[in-house]
Amino acid sequence: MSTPEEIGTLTDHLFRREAGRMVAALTRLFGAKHVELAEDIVQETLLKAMHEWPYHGVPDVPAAWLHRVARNLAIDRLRRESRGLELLKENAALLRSEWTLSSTVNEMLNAPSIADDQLRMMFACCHPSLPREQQVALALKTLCGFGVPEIARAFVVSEETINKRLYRAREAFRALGSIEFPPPSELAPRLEHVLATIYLLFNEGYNSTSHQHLIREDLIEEALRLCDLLTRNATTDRGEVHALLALMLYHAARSATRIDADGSIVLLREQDRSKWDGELIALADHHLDRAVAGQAMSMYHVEAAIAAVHAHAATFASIDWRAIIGLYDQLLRLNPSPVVQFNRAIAVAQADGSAAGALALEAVKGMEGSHLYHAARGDLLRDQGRVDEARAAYTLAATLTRSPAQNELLRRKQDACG
Amino acid sequence: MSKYMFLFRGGSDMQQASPADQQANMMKWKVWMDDIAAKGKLHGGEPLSYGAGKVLSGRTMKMTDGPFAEGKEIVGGYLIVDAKDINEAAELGKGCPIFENDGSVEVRVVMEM
Repeated sequence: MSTPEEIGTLTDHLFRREAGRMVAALTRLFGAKHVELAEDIVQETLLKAMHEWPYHGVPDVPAAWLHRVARNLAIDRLRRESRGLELLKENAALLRSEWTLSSTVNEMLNAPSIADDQLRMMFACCHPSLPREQQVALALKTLCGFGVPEIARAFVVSEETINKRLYRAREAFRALGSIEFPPPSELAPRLEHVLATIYLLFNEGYNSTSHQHLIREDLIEEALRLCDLLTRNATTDRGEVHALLALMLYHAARSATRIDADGSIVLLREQDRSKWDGELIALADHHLDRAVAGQAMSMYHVEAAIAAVHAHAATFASIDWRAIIGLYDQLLRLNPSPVVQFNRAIAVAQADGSAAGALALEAVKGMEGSHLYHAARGDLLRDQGRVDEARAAYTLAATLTRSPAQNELLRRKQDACG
Repeated sequence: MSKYMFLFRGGSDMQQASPADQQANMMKWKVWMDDIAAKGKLHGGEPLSYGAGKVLSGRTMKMTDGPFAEGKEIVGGYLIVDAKDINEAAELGKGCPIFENDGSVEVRVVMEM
């Protein structure tokens, strides 16, 4: 459906977004087995727009134009090839008869049902039979309309690697048959997979080691968009979905201040809080309220609550570290992982001083391969005046990350040790 | 003022481009054509499909299916512009985004009756 603002204008991501929507709808029509046919039709539709629009002008409602062309191409292909296609039992007869072909395609590719098609597609792309890295590649390709070079850039791997992942992912995907919501009994665990993939997408954008600023923003935007879509459907409008959306929004609200104009990392302590996006924080608050109204309590709830404490502190000094430690204790009960213990130790250092923090950090086992762990250890040693040990910790940290921004930050810290 | 025809050849490698790149490419063509139109020099034109087509040739009108030529030779569209001479027409052609995709623009004088 087009909103009035969309009429006659062309949004930045129109092609990409509509590609994802059309592939979802067409894949539902043809069945998972023919996802490539769906992608072909969408490619042909966009090429037609690319060639025609400069000559004839952008249509009043660009999305509607694209969908109409895709519908007509789908009808043509079915008319010519439907005997050779292994169609889903429930539509095969309707799509093979000239009497019902057009009306069935038009009905299945109509605007109101496309949002649901995207959700079904999300569950299919994030099916537990696919390894997570394949889920993410497939979701970006089919659901978000990314090209292979764009996905490769986002993950800082070769196009060949992405092509291989997509090839394997499509094999598993085709075996799914029809694209449907999971049955109610499986909804919660399947939704967990979807949320984990969305969060991975977000983190890849947020923490990416890649210098490509734009592709990172695109990933953040897509993760937010997919999660938002989930909140708008009665079946998937659940507490943990709102919690994840709140969590990502709190982070996104700060994203502009995390990196300075030269691409260097700005520490939380030094970030310009006046530049945090108040609208996004308000939206995050809204979703956190909706999240706690739900019945289940997820890790996303607690992580969002921690992010909320940070987002609402007017200054670094006024952060309520006691509240944060309490939340990390809750999180440890849900997820006793080294990363959570590590983050809790950092909060302890802020609340009770660097010696107490160092003690807490020593108790963390399993983070020895992470640059973040050694960088934090360096900070706490430095704050205790143990500069030689601090410098050694920073040096070790620098060998564990390939991110230029991280390395630059570590170099600054080493220099500050004198 | 005379009329000149631009024949666009090649540049069809966008067939495999991502949706975002296709949109970016479309916008470049649009900006270029809109600019010619804004100068009051755009007479008209149409894109040509890379898909179905026929070539009729010889006395027997032998009919062959497309593709009609090598990728970079395929005519992808034409535009007719108004310009005071061939140099001005060629100057307008220089802004065409097709060069980014290894295509070419042939500038021809439309003969007047």
